[in-house]
Amino acid sequence: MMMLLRKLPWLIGTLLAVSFFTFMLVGLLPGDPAVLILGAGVSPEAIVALRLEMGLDRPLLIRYLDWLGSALTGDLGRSPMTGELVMDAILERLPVTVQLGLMAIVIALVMAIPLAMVSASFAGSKLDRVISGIGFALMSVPGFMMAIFLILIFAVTLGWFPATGWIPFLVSPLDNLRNALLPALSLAMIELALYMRLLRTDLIDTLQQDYITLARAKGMPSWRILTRHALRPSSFSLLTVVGLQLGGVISGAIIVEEIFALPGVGRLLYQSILQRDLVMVQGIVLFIATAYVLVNFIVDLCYSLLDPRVRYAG
Amino acid sequence: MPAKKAPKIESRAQNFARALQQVFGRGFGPGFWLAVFWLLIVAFCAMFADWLPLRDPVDPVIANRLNGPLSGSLLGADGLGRDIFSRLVHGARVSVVIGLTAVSIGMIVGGALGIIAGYFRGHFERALMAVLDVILAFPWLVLLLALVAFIGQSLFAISVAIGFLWIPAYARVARANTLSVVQREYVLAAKAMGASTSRILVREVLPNVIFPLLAYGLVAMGLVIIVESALAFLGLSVEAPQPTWGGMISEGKRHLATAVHVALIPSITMFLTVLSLNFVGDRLRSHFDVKESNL
Amino acid sequence: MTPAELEEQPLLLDVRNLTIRLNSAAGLVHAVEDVSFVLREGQTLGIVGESGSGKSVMARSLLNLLPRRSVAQRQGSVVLSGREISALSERDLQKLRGAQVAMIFQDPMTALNPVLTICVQVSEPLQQHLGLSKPAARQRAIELLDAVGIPDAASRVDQYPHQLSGGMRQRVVIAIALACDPALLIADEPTTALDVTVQKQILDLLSRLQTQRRMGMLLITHDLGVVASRADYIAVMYAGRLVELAPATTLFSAMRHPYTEALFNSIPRITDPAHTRLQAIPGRPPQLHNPAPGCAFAPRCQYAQQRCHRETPPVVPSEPSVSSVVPVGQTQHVHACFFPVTRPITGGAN
Repeated sequence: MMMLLRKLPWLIGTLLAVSFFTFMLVGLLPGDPAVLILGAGVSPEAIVALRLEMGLDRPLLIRYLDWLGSALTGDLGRSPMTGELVMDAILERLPVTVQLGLMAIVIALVMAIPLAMVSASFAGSKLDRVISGIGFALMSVPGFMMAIFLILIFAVTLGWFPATGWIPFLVSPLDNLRNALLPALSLAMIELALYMRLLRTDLIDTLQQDYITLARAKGMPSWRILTRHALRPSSFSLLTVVGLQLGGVISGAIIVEEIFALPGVGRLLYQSILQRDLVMVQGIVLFIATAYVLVNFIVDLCYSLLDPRVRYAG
Repeated sequence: MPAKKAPKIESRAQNFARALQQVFGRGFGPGFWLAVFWLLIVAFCAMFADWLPLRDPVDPVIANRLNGPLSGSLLGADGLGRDIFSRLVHGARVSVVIGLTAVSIGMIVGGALGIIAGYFRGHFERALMAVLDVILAFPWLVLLLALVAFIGQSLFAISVAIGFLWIPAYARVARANTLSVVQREYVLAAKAMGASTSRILVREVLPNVIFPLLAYGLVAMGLVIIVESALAFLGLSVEAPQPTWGGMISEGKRHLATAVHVALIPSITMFLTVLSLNFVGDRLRSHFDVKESNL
Repeated sequence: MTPAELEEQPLLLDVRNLTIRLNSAAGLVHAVEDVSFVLREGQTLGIVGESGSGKSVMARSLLNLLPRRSVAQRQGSVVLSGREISALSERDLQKLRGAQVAMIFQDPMTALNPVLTICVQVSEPLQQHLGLSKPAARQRAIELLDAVGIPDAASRVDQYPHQLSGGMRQRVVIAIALACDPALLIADEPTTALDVTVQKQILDLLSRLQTQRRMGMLLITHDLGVVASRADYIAVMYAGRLVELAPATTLFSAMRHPYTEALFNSIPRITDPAHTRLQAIPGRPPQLHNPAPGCAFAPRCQYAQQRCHRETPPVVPSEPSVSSVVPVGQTQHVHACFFPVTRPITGGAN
């Protein structure tokens, strides 16, 4: 609890800076918003009138504070292009992106942990080299390329999974998973390679510790040593990396959602940028960045909770 | 009992020469040299694309549309009839130039910031770390999309935008290495002898920090190529008619069912390039890690 | 027990011609070379040697605890209570470890898993080997912690290792080792990492527990002082070989091997006049990956002669009266030297 309070100022400071940076970055994008909305060929008076109405004549700082104030109440504005409330647009599409991200991370973890354990306990052997080699190769394949390969094999050639489209989970769970699998796999492969590499190194390190030798001297079976004695100390850095990699997962999600035509937040962001819908872009970027900071903050807290050395010392 | 021989003190140049000799003398294995060979081919294509006897990469010849490899031209034609092989070679230029430029920007700017932060500590360091925290709070694609919309889509603009992304990574690595170097005794000794700050930075800190930075460079370049191709895939990299590998893959997606080679060939090329960069970078890094302590 | 009674006890451990070669970047390392000794129930065998003498490698190899990839060659026989264990499968060895043979290691700070409670770490062998239920194991763990002298065991048992001092952690390690009442305890430098004041406590604890449970103990150390009063027999190792083995009293009063003599001379004595120069053994321990022919100690030995550099001295009995065929199974005074020291040493060991 004390730790939470101590870190709170950092959190608030970072979130404030993030919001400011978001506003500035988007605000500095070229193109007069009023012109973009009304289109070219409209009278200058109409443009000025719209600018006044949108409050674009006020100083930047005032506009920022106004925007921030609304954002804190959950009002991220209304898109001048589509007319929807930004927050509504985000929340409507959020489940898709969250499901995609979670599936990707879970698939990656479920595959990475056993592979890393096998790799580490037979470190240096042929099996280890094969597994590490595959992981190394996977790291050289970007998300969109993996997506194309998967589409080619499973959608075009084998026809097992659809190449585009989305059906919400509540409508039909099975169809939902069918649609979500290829996109999630595309994202998962890179994460898999990263997690596996990290965990393997960590495990090899841990397995050389004295307390592992003592566990062996106690007569503990090898699998028990791996899971109970070695995995836990090694998992901390894995947890941290999962949190830090969220940025990569979100970036990948933007591309993957676009490729598979999934109605997620990432696709919304991409298209809003293309259309120069600045209000929408501002809102989405703030939302994503805030979520990222919060999630990493929580991961940081969990780390302290899980590692007894930190827990009792702090 | 024989007297102990005084240890031979090598100059830094001799040390480096010996390291090079070990790199090229001792075998690195066939895979390593294969990767280096591939990278040299890519670099060659990037440099001499204009002078090679290739078909025009932007000239659409509808008659050749979607021809497979070895039917007419070496690797076939894409959806608009443009020669794939020629586009591949020209596209290498984009990847290599952006790769080198972005990594250089990241290394120089990020490295400098990191070294200064690590050496002088204090407010600057804290401010820098705070700014980096904020920048890193944004998913990289989001940041990049905004930057590209802001700076534009020329070769230079894209390089700068991606380079900007790499500044935090390099700043962190440089700072961490500087922190550890600064604590070592030879820096303290230099200080005690009255060496000026700039002298210490240049003579003691820089040479020791630069090796990890350079080692990271090759791997970083692979990542930059991936990032750039992602942008190109989304249509936000260097604009048409300049061919880019990412753009070619994006176009190829449309023809996956009918002419898979349009997407497959640039994909494989890019994969091999990034893989080679990762491989060579990784090997060099682990090789020089041991040597680092000799400096 | 009297020395005579000690000799009557059944054989617990019979090691013959144990040879271990390890893989290393520099080539094959001859870590342990042709070592033979025995240990009877209730006895303590002290194994003394410098770092690099091979004593730790040998201790770990008894239970095959060396990393799989490091061991290039392993020869010789290890018989535990009449059973040959050197060729046992990993699974069978796991049943032995912790149950019949237990081991404690040097550094208590790293020997315990930092993320598991004391209770879990002590209960594990109880559950694994004795099949105790969790609550029963916990109860037994508290009793064990009590037995090794940890105050307030009931609350300590749920703590984590970093909350205990070094001395207490070592007691926990001992508790873990004794959990299943092993017949043999291998103690690899159990006190090296501890403060001097704590060292005595731990050694006293070990002696007491050993007598109570009639355990055999292999006490491995580089400190002659530690084995002087605690061991029944002492084996001296150098460069992977056994150079001398004798009952403790005999070793200090009638040592044969020049290395043993040099070790003994290097101990500073409180009765020496002030500013007496410390007698160090000149030279350095040999490299083990390309052993030169002949006696390993010869380059540093003040009595070395031509023969010592050419031939490796075999282990022979030190009493001329006994038959020339050395029954390796008997613990008596043996040494490996062509020109053993014969004059008695004045002054007693500490």
